[in-house]
Amino acid sequence: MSADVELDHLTIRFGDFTAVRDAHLKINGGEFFSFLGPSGCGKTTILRAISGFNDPTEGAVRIGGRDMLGIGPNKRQTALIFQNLALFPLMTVAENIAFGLEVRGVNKLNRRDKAMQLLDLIALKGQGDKLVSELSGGQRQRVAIARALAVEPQVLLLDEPLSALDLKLRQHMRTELREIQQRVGITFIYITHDQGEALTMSDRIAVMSAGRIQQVGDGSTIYDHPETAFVASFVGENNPLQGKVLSCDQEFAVLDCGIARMRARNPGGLEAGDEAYVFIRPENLKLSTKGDTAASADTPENSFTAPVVSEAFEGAVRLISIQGPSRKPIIASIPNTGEAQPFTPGLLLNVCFSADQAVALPLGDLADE
Amino acid sequence: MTSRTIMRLMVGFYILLFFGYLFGPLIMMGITAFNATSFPQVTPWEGFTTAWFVQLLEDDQMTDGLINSLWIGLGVVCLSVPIGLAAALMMTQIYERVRPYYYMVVVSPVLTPGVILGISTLVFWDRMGTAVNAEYESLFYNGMWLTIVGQSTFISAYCMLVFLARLARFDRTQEEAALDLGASHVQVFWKIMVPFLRPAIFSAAVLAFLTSFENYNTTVFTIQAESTLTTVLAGKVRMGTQPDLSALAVIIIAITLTGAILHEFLKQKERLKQIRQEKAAKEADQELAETMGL
Amino acid sequence: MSDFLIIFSAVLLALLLQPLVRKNAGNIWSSVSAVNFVRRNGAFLSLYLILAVVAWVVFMIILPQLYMVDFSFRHNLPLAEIGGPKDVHTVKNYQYLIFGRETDEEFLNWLHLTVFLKTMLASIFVTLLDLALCYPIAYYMAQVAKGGKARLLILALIVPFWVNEILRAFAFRILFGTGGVINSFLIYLGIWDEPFDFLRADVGLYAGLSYAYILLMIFPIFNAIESLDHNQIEAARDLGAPWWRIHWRVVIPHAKPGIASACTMVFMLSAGALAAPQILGGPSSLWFTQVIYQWFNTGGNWPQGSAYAFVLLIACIAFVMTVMKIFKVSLGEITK
Repeated sequence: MSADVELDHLTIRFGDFTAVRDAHLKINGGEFFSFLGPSGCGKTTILRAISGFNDPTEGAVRIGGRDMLGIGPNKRQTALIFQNLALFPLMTVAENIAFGLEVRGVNKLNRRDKAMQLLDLIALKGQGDKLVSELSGGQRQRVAIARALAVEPQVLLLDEPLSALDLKLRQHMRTELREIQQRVGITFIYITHDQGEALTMSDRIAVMSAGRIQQVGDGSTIYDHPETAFVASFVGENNPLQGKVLSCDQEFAVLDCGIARMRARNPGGLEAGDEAYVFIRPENLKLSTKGDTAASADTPENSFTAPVVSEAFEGAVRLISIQGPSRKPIIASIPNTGEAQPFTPGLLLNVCFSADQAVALPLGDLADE
Repeated sequence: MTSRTIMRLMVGFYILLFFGYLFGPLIMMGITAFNATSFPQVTPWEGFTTAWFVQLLEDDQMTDGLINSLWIGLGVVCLSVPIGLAAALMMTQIYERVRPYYYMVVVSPVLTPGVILGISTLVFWDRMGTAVNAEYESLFYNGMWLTIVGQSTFISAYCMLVFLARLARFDRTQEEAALDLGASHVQVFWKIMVPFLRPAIFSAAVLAFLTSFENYNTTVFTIQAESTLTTVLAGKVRMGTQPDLSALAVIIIAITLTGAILHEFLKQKERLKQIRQEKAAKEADQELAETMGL
Repeated sequence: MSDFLIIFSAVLLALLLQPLVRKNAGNIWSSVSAVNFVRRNGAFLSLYLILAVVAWVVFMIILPQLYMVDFSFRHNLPLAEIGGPKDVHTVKNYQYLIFGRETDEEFLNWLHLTVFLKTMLASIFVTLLDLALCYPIAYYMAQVAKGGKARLLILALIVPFWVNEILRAFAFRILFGTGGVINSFLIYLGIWDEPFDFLRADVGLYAGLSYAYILLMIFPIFNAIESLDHNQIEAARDLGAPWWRIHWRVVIPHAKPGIASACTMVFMLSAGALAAPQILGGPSSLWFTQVIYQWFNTGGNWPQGSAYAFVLLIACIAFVMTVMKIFKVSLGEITK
């Protein structure tokens, strides 16, 4: 069974510090939902509020429609997987897994059965009598998951559980976690600062910054249609070009960005005279050398000429830094076909992009940078 | 180069001298335990004897004192380990602004001279006894009970410090994890906290017993008409010295050495176990990597 | 007497419960937090925690001390008169320490005042002696000796201290007595003909006291020095600092809390020592604790003894405060 989780205008303060501001969203039962944000953005506080370790200062947390105020962590139908896993070092693997059942008064035989069953699920058959200290990082990870699943929670909360693993194991565990979630069918709420994890595993993602939820949506929406400057710059690579809005209509805005006029989508309702950013992703920039006319067929607004600063080779793609209007260069990435000529520094390039792939957003939190 | 060698020689010589100072008196005393002279002397050597050990066993005063000491030690363990544990747990829960004051009060017995603890315990119980018109045979005037209470005043603080040291290494997420899995706070205490503190409980108990066993300053005031091994010894030494005391020292040193060696051996075993576990974890890591084809 | 007890218990209980009441409540005194404490620990555990701590703090630490202080301001009365009209407060026990009896010829009670001062000065001397003896060893164990060797040294340090305090003093008596090992040896060498009475000269006492507290001096310093990164010493040496400057500028400042802690402990224990002075002290020289002991035993004047004990306690507290001021360390660091 799975339950939905509702944050109803949730605000959490610690003294003068506001960790979470007015978080308001509903996580559906059976969903794999991620909170994505840099460290200190308040995502762990939200998780601890759902599991019952932090009380709301304002607003409420509802699980399965029921207000959780005054209900302790041990009375909630949630299970939390801690960042450091918090396995009990003095117990064996099987005892760890069966701990939740032990405190519920389940008898020894049934406990043993359930532990065996879960050990099977996490591919650690026959290792139940080992001590936790004898397991590898990846194995401990699975034991923590099994221990949480043993109590048959309606919601599983995961606090950056993969951060201690090395890269390859981490990538492997992503698929495994997703598989487990689909098999058990309960709500997973996942906390991470790694957008790769969030994008590959989640049904929906909430991007957070400085205690505020910036945007909620599925992976492609977050990536392709960011609603705030923070989301645009935090999720994936993006080139911000600052400028002033010259004119706008329902869908598009035209900005003066110094080097050229840029036309971009206008989801945030910018008006003429506003300061704003135009975001354009490196992979959406089209480059052509002077005289090569094949790529410059787009509208005249979104094209400019600038010299190459440097090139970085990344295997599958090549990253080309181009002199932009500010100190920070504009990055373009082109697939590596193995044939193209290298871009030597100083070479003048025609750069252009489609207005549909660029987005203009208010300065917001990024204004200070 | 030569100055360095001289330095090293001097350091070595100092260490030798230092440990000579440490063990010399005990070794000399050990020798007197086997010398046949009626006064504890190394010279003149009048022949090897074990008579002093036999005399020790026949000394009723000492045997009575020893039995009292053992009972008092047991009483102190039963009183000060639970108190120390409670005080340490309280420290973790107490309101932060009050914590320094609380700490000051509970460690004060460590810094108070033992004679003062003995006197204050004696005076307090005596006055209480007078206030309630207690009988002379009651607990208020019982030397054994007063000694247990008086010693526990500061031994509880020792125990508390042992527990605090262990608690400082406790990972709070363990407690949260157990709560999250549905354990009540009481279950967390018994299933997570107590097993975690078990080694500390053991060392606190040993520390409490040994400290109680050899305490003199507090005991000498609270014990009154009764006696412990230490007060009997003190009385004997002040009266005049006899070689049977050396014999007793030899026995104590032998027991201590055995205990120390045993302790070191167990620690070594623990270390080896840890190394083995780390190795197993590393192997498991490799195995996992292979099965996943990474 | 009993109302005295009730008032103090009430005040102390209130003080003790204050943290429980105030926990998690910020500045607002809220009774909800006391409920929180019970909810957090369960009924049984809360009861155990509160009972054990209150019993200890109130009935073993605070009340006995207060009673001792109160008692020191009273007359030495026979049992029948306690609580009677004669049972009033007085400062005569303290007066006696300073001025002696009114009928005495001398204006001041030189006998006890000298004993008090001698005890304090001798305790400071023993402390400094121990510091000088132990600092090199602590440094050696913490920074020079490695692995198994360091463990062996620690073990060698601990073993002698599980030998009973009385027997340790006894060993020094064997060593320093007129017929003892040292005298026999020196006479054999021909240094002097007559045995020298080390005990009368208090040499035995100082040696015995220093010996008794070696462990307490070494361990705090050892712990402090051990936490010093060896690279700092290497760096100082690399920059050309001579060995004494390395100690003065790098090691000692780092080990300061440990040194303060060790010195405090050793001073307190020396000043409060009773067994070693009784066994090793010369017949003519008394330790202050011996005077207190006499008041309780042969003197049979408990209020007088309590007054002396309180003076000793105040002196010790003053010493700790001074050390804390000089070394700028907190109480927590001292008892670590």
